Amino acid sequence: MTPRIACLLVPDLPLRAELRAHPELSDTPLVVASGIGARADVIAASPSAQANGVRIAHSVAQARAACPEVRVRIASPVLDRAARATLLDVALSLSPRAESAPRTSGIFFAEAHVFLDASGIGNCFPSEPAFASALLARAERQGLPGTVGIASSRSTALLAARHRMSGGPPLHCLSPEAESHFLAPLPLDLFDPDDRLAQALTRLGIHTVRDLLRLPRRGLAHRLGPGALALIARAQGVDDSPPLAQPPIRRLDEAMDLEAPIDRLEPLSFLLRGLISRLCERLALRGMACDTLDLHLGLEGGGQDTRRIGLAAPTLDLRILLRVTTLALAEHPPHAPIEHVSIASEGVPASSDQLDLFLPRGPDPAALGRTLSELEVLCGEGRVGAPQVLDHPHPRGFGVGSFAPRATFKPEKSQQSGSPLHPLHPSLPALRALRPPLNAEVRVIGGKPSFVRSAAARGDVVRVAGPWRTTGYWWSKNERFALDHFDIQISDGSVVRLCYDWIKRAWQIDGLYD
Amino acid sequence: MPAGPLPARSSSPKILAASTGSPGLRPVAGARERINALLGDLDGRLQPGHALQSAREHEGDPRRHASGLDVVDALLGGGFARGDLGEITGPASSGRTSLFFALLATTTAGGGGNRGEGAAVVDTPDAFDPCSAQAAGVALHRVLWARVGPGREALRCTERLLETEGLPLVILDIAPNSPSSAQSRPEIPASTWTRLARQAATTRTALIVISHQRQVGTEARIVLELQPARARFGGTPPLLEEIETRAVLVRHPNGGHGRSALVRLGGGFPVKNTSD
Repeated sequence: MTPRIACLLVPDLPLRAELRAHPELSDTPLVVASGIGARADVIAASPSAQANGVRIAHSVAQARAACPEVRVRIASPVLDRAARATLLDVALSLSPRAESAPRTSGIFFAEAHVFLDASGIGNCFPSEPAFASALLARAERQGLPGTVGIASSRSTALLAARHRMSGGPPLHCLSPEAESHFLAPLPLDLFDPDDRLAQALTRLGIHTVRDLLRLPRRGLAHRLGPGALALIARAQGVDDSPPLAQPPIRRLDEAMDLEAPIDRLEPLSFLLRGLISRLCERLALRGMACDTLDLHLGLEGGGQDTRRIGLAAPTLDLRILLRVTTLALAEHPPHAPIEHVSIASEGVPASSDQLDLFLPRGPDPAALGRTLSELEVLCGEGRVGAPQVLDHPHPRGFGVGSFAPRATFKPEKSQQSGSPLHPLHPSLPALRALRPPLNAEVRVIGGKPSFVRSAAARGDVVRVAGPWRTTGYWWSKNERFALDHFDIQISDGSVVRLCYDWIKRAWQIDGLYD
Repeated sequence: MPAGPLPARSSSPKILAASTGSPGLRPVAGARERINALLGDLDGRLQPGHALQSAREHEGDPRRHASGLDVVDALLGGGFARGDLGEITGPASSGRTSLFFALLATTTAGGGGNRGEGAAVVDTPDAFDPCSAQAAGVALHRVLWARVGPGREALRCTERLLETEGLPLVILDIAPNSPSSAQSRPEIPASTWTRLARQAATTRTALIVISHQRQVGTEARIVLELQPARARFGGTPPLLEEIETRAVLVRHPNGGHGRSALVRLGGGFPVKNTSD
């Protein structure tokens, strides 16, 4: 079966990378320069700047002369890298095998493209143009509008994408039979031959693929070297590169270099919103949600501030992620102004909802994840989840675990023997914990409390049960405990759990029967 | 039990025609007279609460959260209905927490043929004791416990939980641990309760507020007040066995206000209605 390769091509990546990070510049004439100063080259220009006469390879001074209101941005490697990674994410959202093409040079310097496997798409898309349209739409949603070419080899797919950039629709699907017809009139410059070979071909009057393929291969190789054979193979649509592989799972990161250092949280949160938003969109492309955020801040003076921000449940809710991040920064602000911000996440598969015929539907996992994350912001870290009884002798010990409403519940043996209708009668009145325990003044007569005064209750002790002694961790100076507990009823009607702490030598009320 | 004639129906033929959406539709001649005659026959045998309950049964029995305590469930007409805002009030040691654990146990662990479901507890006094809840039969892994301070965060938590469909029971515990902490707590405005009640109705979630005194006001469809009666210590050496409390129905959509029952919490033996 003939392989089918799609090429997603973005012709002006530096410009698109800038606009992804600064969408507010989309309506203004904008150029991206290769460096600082008026002599730097323009490597990408927005359509409005080009309409005013700005051209690629102009100097910044020429661009300013042609269009005085033009905004100049210096090409950012950080933004460029993120945009290229996003292009690959777009490809991987529609195909399991994809790869980023290496950077191109010459007239295609500003170009970025990815190749993806388009074989067998008939199960998901009615046709190759439909697949190409979906790919284009996803790329455009990420702020990377481009063109798509589909052919039997990478080079032909790339040429198909490039060929349609000038005027035609932004997609071009070539059937295997039509490829030679498509390639024949193309100029050889499109194959980006090296300079020496290009000059030799021009000297010989060979300008198009048709001209090249008319000549004998052996003679060309003898005169022009092995580079000519490779060019002939590409001109014939033959691809000897290995098949596309499934790329390893990578961390997703978005970063930004700041023009001026930031020392306040408000402007930083504005930047973070954009970074997190782009990160979430990329995670969504991969069907993943964010469970941890790695925030890296480059500080003025060369310092670094790295922190990992955990979430109660995976989520893609921008509001929650931004709030968690700003709270973490507000709690421990960086010690110097910030010059560089980077945020990364490995992502975890977004949970799906598997319904059960015999169990209630329960909350939607995605909605529950959002709720848990927001609750953790409101309550604090480690204060939201399912309560747990720890295997620990301390009577006040407890834990907070993950909330799993769908898990199967196995009642205790004592509960299984009860009535089927009401199997759950408590054997004791419920205890209401007092955290931290309240200090109490206690009058003791005959080894038993007779009068209690505390913030929770005050009065004569009417009934007493106890004491029950609990001790543990005698080997640990910090964790050891020795408590004598009494259940007492006080004259004001309350029934409390009073305890004497032998370590602190103090009376406390640590629970209220209610 | 309060008894009395049914309130007069006020729906006029004009309103009936308007509600059908057909201005020209005329009511069937004599229908109102026949309805009035039927109501006259039933007068004295129906009580207001019964009429409403009967109507609800025809609409389809809304699922309720029963406590598993016969006396309390009988008092509440089967339990706290989903979509309603209810309130359990009472001083310390009145049995609020035992009742709240019983509700949690029947919801999370199931029983009587029901499967367990998730439930959420917004715990402002940080008073939830997992050991005690587990002893009461609560399936702890199905309880979403939010330990949040009193104030706006707690209400925001509750609102967020009510927005999450699939949690049929949300309990907001705002009962203070001590009288002094009760005085320092900010008052919750009535508009907040209105918003929470509407949200609970939208997602068919039963929201139950545990408090030391009435907080919710008129938005609460069911208000159960618990009054501590006595604590029973028995055996040798003496052990705390049970708490007796009087449950008074202060507010209920089906009527029956003022009805009360003595409830024994703990002790592990069946409870019975000792008074009405």
